[in-house]
Amino acid sequence: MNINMNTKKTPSSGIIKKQRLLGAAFAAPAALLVLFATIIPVAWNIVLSFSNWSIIGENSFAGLTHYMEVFANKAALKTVWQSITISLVASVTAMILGTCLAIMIYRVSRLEGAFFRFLFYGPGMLPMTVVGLLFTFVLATDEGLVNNFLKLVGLANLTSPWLAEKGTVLIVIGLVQGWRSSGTIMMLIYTAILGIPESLRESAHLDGASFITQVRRIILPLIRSTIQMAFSFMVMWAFKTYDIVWSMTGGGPGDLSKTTPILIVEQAFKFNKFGYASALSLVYAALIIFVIIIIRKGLGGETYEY
Amino acid sequence: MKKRMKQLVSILIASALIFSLTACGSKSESTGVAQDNGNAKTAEDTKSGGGENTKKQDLVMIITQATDFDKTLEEKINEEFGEKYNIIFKTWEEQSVEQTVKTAATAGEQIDLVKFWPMQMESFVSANLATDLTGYMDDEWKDRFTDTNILEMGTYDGKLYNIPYDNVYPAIIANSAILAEAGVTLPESGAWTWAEFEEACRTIEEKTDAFGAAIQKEQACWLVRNLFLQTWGNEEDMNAFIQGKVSFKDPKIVDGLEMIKKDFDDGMFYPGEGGLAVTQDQLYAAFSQGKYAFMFVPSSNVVGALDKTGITDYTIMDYPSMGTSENPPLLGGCNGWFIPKNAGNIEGAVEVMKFLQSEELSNYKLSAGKLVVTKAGANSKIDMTLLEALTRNANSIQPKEIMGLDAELNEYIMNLMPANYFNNGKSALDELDALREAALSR
Repeated sequence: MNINMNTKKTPSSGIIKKQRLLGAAFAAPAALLVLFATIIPVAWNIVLSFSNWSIIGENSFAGLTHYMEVFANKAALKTVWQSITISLVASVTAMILGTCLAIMIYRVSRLEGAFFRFLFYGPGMLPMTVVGLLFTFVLATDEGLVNNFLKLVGLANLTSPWLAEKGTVLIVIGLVQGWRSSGTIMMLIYTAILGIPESLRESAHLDGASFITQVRRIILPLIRSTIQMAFSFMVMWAFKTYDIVWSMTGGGPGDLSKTTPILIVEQAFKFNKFGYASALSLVYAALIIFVIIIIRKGLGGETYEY
Repeated sequence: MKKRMKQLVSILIASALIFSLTACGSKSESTGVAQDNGNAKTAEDTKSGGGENTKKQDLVMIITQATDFDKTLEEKINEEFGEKYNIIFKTWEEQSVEQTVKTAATAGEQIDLVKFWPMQMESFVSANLATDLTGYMDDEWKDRFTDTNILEMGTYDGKLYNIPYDNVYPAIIANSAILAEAGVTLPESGAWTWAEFEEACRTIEEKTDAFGAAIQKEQACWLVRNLFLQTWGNEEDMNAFIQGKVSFKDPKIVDGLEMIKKDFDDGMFYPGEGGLAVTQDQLYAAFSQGKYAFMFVPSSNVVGALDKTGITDYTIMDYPSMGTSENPPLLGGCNGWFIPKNAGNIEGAVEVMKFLQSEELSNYKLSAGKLVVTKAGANSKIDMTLLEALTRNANSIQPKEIMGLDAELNEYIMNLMPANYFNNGKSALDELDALREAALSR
């Protein structure tokens, strides 16, 4: 049986080819940027993690030595634990605060909402180092605002060296970072809430549902996928924390608040252990990816169409 | 036609983006030249008025901070070398200077002169990141030093990598008004023992509203470093420890650390809780408000601290002895400069160092309370009583410490002690011992 295949080019195939070329031309700058700013550094990082290299000198193959060192080094694992604590506190704080603020702004009038959006988004516009320095003054043991306020209201027994005590330093840094990020989370959640048709709320209102019930039964379920995305972003930002910890405590006292990013920079640029630092950074990146996968699986997130 | 125009515009935009990316790459390449052999990178500089293009070498230095004293130094350097070099000052920061220099070295960026401590050059020397200055130290330059033995501090394996310029060791400023109120008198000569110092602090706390002492967080390691030098009671044991032959779990070390821990637990150090997290601003502010009696401060900062706190009724006292010796060794050393391997203008950096150690500049620094190691001449405006108080223990300085064994050991003692011992107990000593053994095995 003969099948007559028509191999003649149609006029539209030329157009598609041109469109593809045009698309490639548009994508090229971005692709180059990604190649040089992400793919090559990551590849180089992987190569370094299997090497012994100290800025100047020969680069020799180290096998899995650096990875084994990472898991055998208690100090490194301690910083991972401290990073997890800070990021957990920061993420939960930012999500709860951001979501509550978004819902409250949605509740008020558009004019008031605009004012409060600007007000609450303010901290997000400040550099992390500025926020960190600001809070070192606020949380100072002797002349800090928090301790003096507690003394003023008769709660002197609650005063504490917030940034110098084992039990508080990680939580306080997490809270500050969470507060600073809450504005961004608020904007993401608020935008998602605006996408919910007003008719859904109106009909719930007519059925006698209070605003709290509407939030619980309508708003939160419908923005679940946005919450999941915001939470993933927040965890990623919080895990990468370097600047706020550095400006608030420098990782101290001792190594009480030293996070893995600080340790990575220290190992590379203080002790010239670039191979070890690269291995640690890759293990840490894998941990972040693992945590984000758990969050995405855990929160689920159905997409509603309305 | 309209479609073609769209395509043309699209291609133009894409080309512009590619060119901008390429331009970014080529710019960083052109500014990142640094050569080991000292061939300098040049910068285009147009003379004002003449319109003639001349080429000035860049001279990039990380030797000054944002203080009035350092700003004056910058002005003097600019006056002297501004015509010859394109001078760039980057702010020196204690916590980040090492990372800044090494990051620049990795990126191939030019840095010509850096302030760093001669005794802590191990991490630069072992990574081949410091320039050997032995050949530049000619007789004329050597002659400027009051004692050329000081150059030993910056010498590693017979090569000079760091040029010392100021002596620095722990000083203590006592607020005389608080001492008088508490009825505490300082010894007429010599130093208190640590036990006597603790007793004085307790008396002050009982009889006044002030705390006994305060120490800036960056200097808290002094308590441990002096313990490591003074606890042995004889030179032989001290040297064995410095060479790494003695464990950090030696009973003398553990007892000494427990003693310091108890002082902090008892609230002897301002502000009671959190005594290891005091910043310089907090230290100065509390001293000026009379919140504590004894301020631990580097000898090179005494004049600046007195200026900033405004305290005029004071006494410079000797550091209390933490051992049994009557004339205990004292931690200390020098500030110094070194030229990183990524320097592009070694000659210029050497000229600046020589200029800063000239008689005129030494004189100026001495008048600001800096204990220069070079000859300063007789015209100094320095307060001789203060100078005498600051220099009377200079001979007790022990230039070698156990920290010199290894960069990580140095980092642990300098930045993590005594806080890690207070928080983690003996596991901190295990970590120190592991670093000591690793250093010895290398």
